[in-house]
Amino acid sequence: MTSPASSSEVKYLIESSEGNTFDVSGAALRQSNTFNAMFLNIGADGPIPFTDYNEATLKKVFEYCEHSVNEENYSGPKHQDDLSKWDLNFFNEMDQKMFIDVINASNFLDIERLTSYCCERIARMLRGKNTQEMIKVITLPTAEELEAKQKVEEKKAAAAKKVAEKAAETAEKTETLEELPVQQLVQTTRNKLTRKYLSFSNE
Amino acid sequence: MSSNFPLFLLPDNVILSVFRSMEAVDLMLLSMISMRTKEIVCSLNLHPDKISLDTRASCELEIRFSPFIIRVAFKKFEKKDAEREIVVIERPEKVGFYVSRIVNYGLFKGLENVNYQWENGTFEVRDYIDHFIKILHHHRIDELSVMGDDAYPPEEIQQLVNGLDIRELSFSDEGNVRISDDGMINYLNAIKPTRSFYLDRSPLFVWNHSKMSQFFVQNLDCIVIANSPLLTLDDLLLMNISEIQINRTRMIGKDFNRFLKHWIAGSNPRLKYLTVGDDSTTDDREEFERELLNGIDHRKIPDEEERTCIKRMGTYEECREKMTGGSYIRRKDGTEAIVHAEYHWFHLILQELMSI
Repeated sequence: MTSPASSSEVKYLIESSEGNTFDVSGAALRQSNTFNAMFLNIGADGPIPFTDYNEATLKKVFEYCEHSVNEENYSGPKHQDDLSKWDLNFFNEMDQKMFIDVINASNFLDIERLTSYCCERIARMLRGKNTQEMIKVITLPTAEELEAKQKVEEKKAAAAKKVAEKAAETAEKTETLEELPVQQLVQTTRNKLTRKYLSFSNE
Repeated sequence: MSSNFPLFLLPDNVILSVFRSMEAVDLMLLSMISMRTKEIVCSLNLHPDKISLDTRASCELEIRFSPFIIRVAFKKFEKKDAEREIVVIERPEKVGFYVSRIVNYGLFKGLENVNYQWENGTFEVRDYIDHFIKILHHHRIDELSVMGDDAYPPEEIQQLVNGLDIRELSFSDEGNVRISDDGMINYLNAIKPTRSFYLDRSPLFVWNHSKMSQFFVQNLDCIVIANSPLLTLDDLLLMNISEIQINRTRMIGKDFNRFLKHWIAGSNPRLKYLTVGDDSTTDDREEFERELLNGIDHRKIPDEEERTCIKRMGTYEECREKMTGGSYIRRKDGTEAIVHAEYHWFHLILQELMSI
């Protein structure tokens, strides 16, 4: 159980795709714009279901968030050459599958700093390569793969909707907050998430 | 991590962020590998400073995109030592992509070079030109340079650039062979620039008035002619061009005086900047100015008053030129200009181009 008050001591329970739960500090979680939009002001009743991502991925993402809690506010992409030793180790110890999962989770949670660093890292894979080498690196997808990607996007949109609905339920239960602003907040969040993920699916 | 990466299986906004993290050179290369990458690069709204085309032995497209200078060379070589095959300009066998990055080392600037090369598939030179123009949202060729030893006849270059907006046509004798007068006329007839001519160092150029007049009367922004000993006052009065620079003529102060009187009466209405190298016998500036302004109402500017003239305003070639002294004159319609003379040079500059 968590409280709506946002201080660094507050812990939130996160639920992964395996159904496992684990704690994340409020300060770390606040780096996620998705979380901020859904739960920051109203709190969460029970574990927050990020059930599209496995425990290892979520832990990795929040490990990064915990580490960068005290870093200055994010101000646009940072050059990969400026990364600290810790950051470099963080990226280097991931295999490709984990890296892709982390990007997807970070993108869903809308953690700007981590997503931006991951993107910069991919960009570096292509730097200094000619067209033929680039084709080899980025492995252009087949039609089947693109179809599968679209299905995943649709599934994520549905998951986002589910999370928003949970936030809405929580809001309804929260008696201390004024009714109208919460309702508006929930509705706005729900609309925003639905729009975001529907737009991905359409693309 | 594996050397292959399934970039396009990531969410679309992540793909876009990856592209945004890349440098212009990598993006230009990436845009060539699929329609999808081309569309994404297009959406990034890149804008280069200048795109020029050079039709020397290997046709080259030069893209200036600060801090990069990128040359895309279209080659058609059999073997390294074999005689060059000059047949058609359309389809190159190899494409060279030469990148120079301007690096600031503090006290001086240097270049870092990276070269790429690949065997060409079915793309033609025009496909490459269209591709870069599209992804860089630069729907023009700023400069087309032709030389005496071009590998391609004017008709073929005309076909290559057909339908493109060629802003500046530039003739140069940097090659081994100077362009003949007839060759130059052929180029001028084949390729019509929309903004300017640059005729660089052509000492053998002989004016053929009946042929050249059709090019002078066009509404161009700029013409630069390095050496034109046979240019006359009539030629100058015919030029319907905003900025005219002619480095060497056989005109004298008396000719310029007549020109100024015509200008005051209303000739050359588009003219904003004129500088002409003259053939005066006098080295005395004051005497030359007296000859220039004889019979013309004018107001002297103090010699210590420095002014800056902005040339080619709003173009990639914009530059500033400082000058002191001179005299104000006024056209009948009220337009004010500065007449300035210095050693073997005559300038007429509209007040609107000047700043103190």
